[in-house]
Amino acid sequence: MRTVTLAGAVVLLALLVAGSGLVVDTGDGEQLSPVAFDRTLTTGLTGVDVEQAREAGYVVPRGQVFYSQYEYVVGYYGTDALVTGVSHPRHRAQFGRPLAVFVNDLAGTDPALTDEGYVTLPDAAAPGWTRAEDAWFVVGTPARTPAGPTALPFGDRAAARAFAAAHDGSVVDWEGLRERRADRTDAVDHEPPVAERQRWADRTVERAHGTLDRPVSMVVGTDRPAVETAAGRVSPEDAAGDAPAAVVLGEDAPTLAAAVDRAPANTTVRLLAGRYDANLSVGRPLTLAGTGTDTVLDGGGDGTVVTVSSPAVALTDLRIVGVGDANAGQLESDDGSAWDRRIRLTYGYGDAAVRLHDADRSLVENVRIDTPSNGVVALDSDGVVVRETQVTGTDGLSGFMSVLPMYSRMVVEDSRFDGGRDAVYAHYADGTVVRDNHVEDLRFGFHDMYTSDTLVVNNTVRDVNTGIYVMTRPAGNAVVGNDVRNSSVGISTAGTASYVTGNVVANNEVGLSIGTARSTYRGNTVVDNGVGVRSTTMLPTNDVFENDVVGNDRPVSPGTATLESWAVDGRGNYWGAVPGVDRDGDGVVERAYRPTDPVDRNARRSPVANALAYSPAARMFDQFQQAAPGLRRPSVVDPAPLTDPVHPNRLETHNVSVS
Amino acid sequence: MSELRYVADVAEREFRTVLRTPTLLAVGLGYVVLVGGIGWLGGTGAYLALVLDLLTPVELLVPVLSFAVGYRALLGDRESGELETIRTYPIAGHWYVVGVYLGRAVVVLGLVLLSFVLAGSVVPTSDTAQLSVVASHPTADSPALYLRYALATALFALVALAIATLVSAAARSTRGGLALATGGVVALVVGLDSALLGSVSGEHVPTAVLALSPNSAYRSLVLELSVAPTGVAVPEGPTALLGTAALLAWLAASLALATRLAWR
Amino acid sequence: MSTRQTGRAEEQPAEQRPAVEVTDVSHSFDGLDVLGDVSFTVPGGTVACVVGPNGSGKTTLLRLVADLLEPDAGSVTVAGDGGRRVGYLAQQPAFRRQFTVAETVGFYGSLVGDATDVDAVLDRVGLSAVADRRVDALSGGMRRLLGLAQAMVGDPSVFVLDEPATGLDPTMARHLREVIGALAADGDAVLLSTHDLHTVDRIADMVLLVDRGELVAAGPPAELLAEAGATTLDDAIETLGHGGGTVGVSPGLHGGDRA
Repeated sequence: MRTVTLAGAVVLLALLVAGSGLVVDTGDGEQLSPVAFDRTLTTGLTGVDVEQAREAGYVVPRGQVFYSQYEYVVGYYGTDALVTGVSHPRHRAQFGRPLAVFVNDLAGTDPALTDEGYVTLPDAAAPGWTRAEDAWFVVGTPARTPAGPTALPFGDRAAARAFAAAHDGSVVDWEGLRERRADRTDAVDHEPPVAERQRWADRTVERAHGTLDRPVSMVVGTDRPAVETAAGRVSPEDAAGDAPAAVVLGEDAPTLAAAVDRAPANTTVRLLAGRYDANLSVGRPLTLAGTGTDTVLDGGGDGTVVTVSSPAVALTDLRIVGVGDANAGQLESDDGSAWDRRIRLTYGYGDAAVRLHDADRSLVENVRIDTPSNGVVALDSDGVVVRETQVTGTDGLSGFMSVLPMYSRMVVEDSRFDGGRDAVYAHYADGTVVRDNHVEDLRFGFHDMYTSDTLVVNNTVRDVNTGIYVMTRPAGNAVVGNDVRNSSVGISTAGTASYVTGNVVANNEVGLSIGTARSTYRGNTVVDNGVGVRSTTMLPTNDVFENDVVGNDRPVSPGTATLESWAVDGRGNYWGAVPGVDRDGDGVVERAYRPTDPVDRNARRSPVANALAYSPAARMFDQFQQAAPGLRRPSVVDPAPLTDPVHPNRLETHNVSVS
Repeated sequence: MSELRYVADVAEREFRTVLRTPTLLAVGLGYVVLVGGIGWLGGTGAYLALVLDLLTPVELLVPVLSFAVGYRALLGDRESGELETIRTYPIAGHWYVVGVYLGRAVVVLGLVLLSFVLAGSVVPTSDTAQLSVVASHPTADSPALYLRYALATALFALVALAIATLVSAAARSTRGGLALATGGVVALVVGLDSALLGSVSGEHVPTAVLALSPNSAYRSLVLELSVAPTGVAVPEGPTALLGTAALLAWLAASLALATRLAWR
Repeated sequence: MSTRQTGRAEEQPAEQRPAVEVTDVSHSFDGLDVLGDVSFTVPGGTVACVVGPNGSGKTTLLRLVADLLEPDAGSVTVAGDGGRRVGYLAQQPAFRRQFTVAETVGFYGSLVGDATDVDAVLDRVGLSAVADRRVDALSGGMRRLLGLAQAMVGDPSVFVLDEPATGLDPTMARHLREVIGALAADGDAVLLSTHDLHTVDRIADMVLLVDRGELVAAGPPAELLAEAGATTLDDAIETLGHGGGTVGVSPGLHGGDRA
């Protein structure tokens, strides 16, 4: 046999094999079937909303999408989120077109609506799945999820019509639902709502400060001449009644608690310098004003020192010591309740210097706390302000939370936190504002659990494990203008629709750790970290642009998901000097920069890498390697690196040469 | 059919000639290493991504390979005088050219496919970390996309070789052959497309202009067959059919002209 | 007008049958007349030597007979049936250097259809010893013998050999003459060009003297000697040639065999 015939036969065979590619129908999604929802990458409604609905037994319609260019199944809580995930250009660019979309099928589950519009199913039935294009969606009914109104999917048209008829809704198909959703503008706003939240915080502080104008009803001390002198000095217009009562502990009242019990509501109790045995309960709107650190409330090392169970209580100019060392309350019995409930029962009931419960609008100001457990715990207390307060916890992790808002929206400002576990641990504390604080030597500076719409602004954090740590899957948080240094991780995020802007993270092991979806990272200064920016998100749909990322050992550590492209509207980030030039002088280098690529990363230091970076081969790769990001190995590309830093003055303070 | 027999023998001679020419072997090896290397350098775990990575380099390299292998096929024998000796045999010129073409085509296709096997092996062997707790599914990415790409590229290689054979038939000297071959590669890779780019100034350009450049026809074929099915946006149009037809036309026309010129 | 005909096997002995019949053939390149009005026949079993000065049109004449050129006018008729009719040896035979001697002959064998006994062909030209040697390792003479072997492939009845003796050492040259003699003895017609009048002396049954594109004399050597009244071919050619005097036969050739 001739060699050429043999080789030709082999080639022909190979061509036949290649030709088989023509008969295979690629990616029609027909063969795909839904997976268990807990095995999807979930997004959509926040963890809080989902958790609340689950606890209450309400149905949140869910969907799952199989994208053509992403191997993981993405699960969506809520039909709105599902439609966004299928239609949003950002998702399509990152993950390709949807091969298959499945939604819950409520047909046959006999759904009912509560008075509020929540959807319940009898016998806690679990709805199955149907293809979105085969489904019918009931819209315009009062049906809602904790996040708002929702469409309800049915696999059967008759069932959908019946439900629509019963609840004054109408029925649309998948296309119809998508069109309805498309009508709403989904403008991407890269500006965090800082001003608005600052205004709320200002108002809240102002309102809480109203407690400082209360007339003085009582002056408390341990030394009679001092007490009487002080009481006499209270001018009549400041006094409640004719003159404040002079109360000498041990003579006029057995304990501080007994004295305070006598004070009328909406008055001020002045505590003179001295040490008070205090396991105090305040059940009326009172102001307890000390003289500063000389007024010491000593809990004797047992339990909580001050327990507040009334709105509008103020504790000012005090020092609190002798806090019990029980970090957590005791579960009366393990009733198998949800994790967050256990947190509530345990974290919320540990020993504290001050525990606020149902104490809206209360104020803790200029209080110095030494605690082996918690500092200020706020339960179900909105509008609470903790300011100008200093909490010193124990070294190591044996202490607990310096400020612990739970189910409470509060303001924490101008305070110092040193030691203990977390400076502020926000648990279901939507809208909390944490600003202008100084934090050092503890675990997390700000620890966000199930808490959305917070503002964490202008805080200084040093020598901690993680400066700002957003966990669970909240939404709308704004982390702005903070300065985190010398820590393991500067800022670590999660959730959606959040903002991380204008922060400085320096000299950390990891500067910025991005775990969010559809969030904005802009104007941050990331310098001298081991890893500048770490991506951990599985749904890389964030806008990362106009950040200065320089002087880090590694600029970027790619995530586990896919290729990410970091630029918005032709503006990427500043990475120092990168290969390429800016010919048209628009401040953008006309060559993509790959901070995760060894050649690009070393281009500045190694002449070999620099020469390679300019090679036609490298340029050629540039062309297509940003396509089909969902199928790419995890890496990061900046298609429009900046020629000049966004915040050069910040870099100068770090001695990073700006050339 | 006696023609078929000697066509095979002529092909065999061409095949062995290439295999026994160290320079051509080096070029072939270089091609395989380069394309395979590009695949491994990209290190992607997806066939679509691999196709996109390879598209441009392969489009540049295939004409180079084809011309390297093909441009001396007829010219060499003409220059040495052996072609004259062959012409005293009772064979038909067009069948002889077909044999020459086939023999070299086996080499070119072999190299092209080998390089694709090498580059393609990166996908199943790349150990992208899998999240076991999260359900994964077969994306629109599939080996079929890559196979289609290989098929389209094979057709493109055949066209490039046919044009190289035409150059070989037309050239009358080594220098002329080199100039023609270089010109051929440049025309394929840059010239024709530049001309097309110039023509695409208005909004409505007939799709058929793609047929004027084999490279563009090939590229549109790949985009339609291998890239579009995954949801990467590609404008719709009858480009697959048109691309295939255009490439086949280039192939047939080049070979036909080559046979006429070779036997003069 | 040119015609080319396939000769019919006629009821004559091979020796008398015209194997090559050239009638009124003219040829020109780029308007320059190279051959004019040439007519001759070569019967089978005949060795015909085409002699003449360089540039006289010998090679053109041979190429016309080998069907590598079409005559502008006149006809060339070559005897033979369906297979290979003319075995041709180019003036500078070249073969792909990547192949061995045996492979080369084998390839040409495949072009004529029937299985060619490569060994036998190589044996006839005396190249058996180097059958497995690559072409680029052959001496010039050996390459010419390989060309001769190639010409014999397919068993044609007419051989057209352009300067077959050039570059052969005496032993090879003798062998070449033997081979040519054997071909003629088999009834084949051999048309060869040469500068080497010793060869002509020894093997020519017929001499075709070409000068300035014209056939100035044709016939057996003895006839030419008689016609010119010369005693040597050398003198006869000089006498019969156009310009008289030297016809450009290089002096070295008078010595016959060249090393």
